[in-house]
Amino acid sequence: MNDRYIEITNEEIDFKKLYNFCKEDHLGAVNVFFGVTRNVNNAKKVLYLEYESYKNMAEKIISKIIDEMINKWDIYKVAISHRSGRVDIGQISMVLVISSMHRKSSISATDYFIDRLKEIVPIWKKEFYEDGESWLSSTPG
Amino acid sequence: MFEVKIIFFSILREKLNLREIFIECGENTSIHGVIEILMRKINFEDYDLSKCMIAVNEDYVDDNYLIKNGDEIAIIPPVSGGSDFL
Repeated sequence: MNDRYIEITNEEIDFKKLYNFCKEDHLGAVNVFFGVTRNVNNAKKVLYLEYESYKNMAEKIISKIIDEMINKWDIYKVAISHRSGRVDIGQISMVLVISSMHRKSSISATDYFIDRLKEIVPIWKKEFYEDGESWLSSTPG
Repeated sequence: MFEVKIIFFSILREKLNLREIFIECGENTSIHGVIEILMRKINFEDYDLSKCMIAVNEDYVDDNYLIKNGDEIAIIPPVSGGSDFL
């Protein structure tokens, strides 16, 4: 399908590539979201992260979420790149780019995508601290 | 009887020190049945499997799904992709 680009990668994310994939001369809005690795969580200093994924399934589920978004909003193209493996503090862990004719659809769809990602896409994050490590769950408790 | 592969990820993979396991099941075994077989075979200690979702051949299924020969079953602990926590 040429309306979407999906990757889970061990490499640094080339966000220009995602932007170029999404932009079209007739579209006035390209919304770009960067997720960046923070150095603190729950008042604990984080040294770095590691992401693990069930890669093929994650890509498949992301594509389903994009189908949901296309059904709900007037958006044209979606490009997503999510890191796997070790990601250092300050590095980009995910980039989501959505293009649309007008800004509202791509901005709303961005928020929706990230919520769904945290619910159903099989990617897990582990934080490493000075005194240990822990797997995170986006569901509290 | 046939064999199916079950794969583990993240917290479960580390806790069990196991990436995958094969189990034997009969015709008409549901996901519910597979979990029962697994719990007899593996000590999950205090880990509550009910908070996991189950995928077969890379799609989520419910407990009533009937396993077929060659299915790849994945136990999916609560996910945490994206950048920030919550």
